Amino acid sequence: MPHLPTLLLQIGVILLVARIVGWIFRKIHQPQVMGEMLAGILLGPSLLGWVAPGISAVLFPPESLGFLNALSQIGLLLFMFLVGLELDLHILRKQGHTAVVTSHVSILAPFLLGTLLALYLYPRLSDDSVSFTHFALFLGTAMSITAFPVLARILSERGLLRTKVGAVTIACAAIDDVTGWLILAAVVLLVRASESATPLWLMGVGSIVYIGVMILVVRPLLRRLEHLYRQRGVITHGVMALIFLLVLAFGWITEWLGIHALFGAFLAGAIMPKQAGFVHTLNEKLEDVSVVLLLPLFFAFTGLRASVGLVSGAEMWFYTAIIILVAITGKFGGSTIAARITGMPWREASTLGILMNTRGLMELVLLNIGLDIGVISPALFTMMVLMALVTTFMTAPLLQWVYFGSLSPDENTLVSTDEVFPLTTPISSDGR
Amino acid sequence: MRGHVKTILHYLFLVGLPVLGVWFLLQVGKTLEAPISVGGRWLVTAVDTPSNCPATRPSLAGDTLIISQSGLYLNVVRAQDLTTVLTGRIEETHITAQTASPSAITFAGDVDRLADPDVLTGILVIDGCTLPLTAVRQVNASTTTNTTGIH
Repeated sequence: MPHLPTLLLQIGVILLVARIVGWIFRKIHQPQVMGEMLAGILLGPSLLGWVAPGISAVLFPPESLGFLNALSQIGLLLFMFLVGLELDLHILRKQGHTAVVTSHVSILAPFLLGTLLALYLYPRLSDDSVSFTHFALFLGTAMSITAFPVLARILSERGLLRTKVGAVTIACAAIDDVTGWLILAAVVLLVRASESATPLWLMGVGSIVYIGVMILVVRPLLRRLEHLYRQRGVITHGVMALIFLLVLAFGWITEWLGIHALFGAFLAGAIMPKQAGFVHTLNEKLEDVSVVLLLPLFFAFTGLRASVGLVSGAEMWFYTAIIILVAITGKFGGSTIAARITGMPWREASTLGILMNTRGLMELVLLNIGLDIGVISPALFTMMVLMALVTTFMTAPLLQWVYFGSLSPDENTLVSTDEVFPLTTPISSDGR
Repeated sequence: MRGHVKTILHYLFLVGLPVLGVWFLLQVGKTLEAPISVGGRWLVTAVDTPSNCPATRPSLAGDTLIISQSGLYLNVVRAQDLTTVLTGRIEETHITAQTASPSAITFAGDVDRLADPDVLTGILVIDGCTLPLTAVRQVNASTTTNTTGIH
């Protein structure tokens, strides 16, 4: 493997820069993941490639990027498994109609505005190899996504998990997560079916049957893992190997079905037993490698694909501003108004809107898929990455201003223990 | 019971209307036309007689032009010189691009949308040396993927 020294150097530099920038961001009360995302951008053509093209060419020669990408994709598979593992939709049942209506509106409002924005952007930032329907559906999905892991961490750090607004927000985010990925799976399926010999209906039916079998047949079988854990008190190497195999197999099948390997990994996590001890132990075993080591590689790879240099001129910056404005209006506005209509006071409704507007790394995952399948162009990819950074960055200060800035100690309504989201993964240790 | 009715009404208003809106917008958008796809690798197959060129000027025949497209906006590079990036745009079927210092290198070309959108005819001007050329898009040329690694 002639590129091994380069790869080792790349991993070392990425890890170092990610930790340093992440640490700086924690000092300014931002989630560490925000700093790591930015570190990835800084290592790409937007900064390093611009100020030191020679160093950039030595550190990231194009022919070596395949290895970096492969490693980052493995990390992403494990991360999506952890995100799925964290999801427990039972929490929704405890939140009543506020969460149901708000979660659906918080998807549909930005989706609607994203589709509206597509009318403007399609003739300017797309080309005729992409159909308007695919472009608009993708843009709508990109506007709708919420970074469940980042959001859960912010709620935990700020002591909001036991508040009414925290409990409703986390339930909404959980629903958003599942719905967002299902919509994206459908979009990917549509795009790939248009380029594939296999008819769309066959790919669609295959995917639905597959998901059905996973939920109705495989999920009950997986409960044996929980029994084993209860009996032995540990997750053995044999069980871990089985879980790795499941993640890989699920990823392989969903990729083969025409959706994306990441959906398979997410589904594998989602149907795992949700017993707290089991989830916590499993998370501990996977988190360090996937979140600390491999995820920064994904950020760096994203940074190498995004270039602020592509967003040149007043026109392009105008598009970027519009994208950011639409993203915030749709997600923050939609969630806030829905929560208010369903009975939340304005301040709590706005807080929910601010939190739901956090897009974080889940947006980056989605955007990379969009670029891979060719539904968005490189410049639009960069603009959307900037949108993800801005919406994630603004969460902490806005939360401080809107919620905590005007909160008296007796106002923070606490919910009962069984309504509290059991925060376990994959954000537990480092502010992700 | 009253609570359920309220929830259903909220749901119909807040969820049903946006769904209808999305459907309507998708129908409207189908009438839109995006710029023609020119992204990808273009192999220079023919070079007409150059003018104002030094005798030492190497021929462009066999060169590859790499076009990275984001809708109307283009980046053009020669595969043999990835560091010199021409930025430009496409209007209908006409492409124009130039380097940051305007007079150094410019390119103007056209694709024939109806006859053969995979053939590009144009003129590359390098330091006053005019090089008319014809290029053919390579198979599997991606329209949106950044094939150069340069953004």
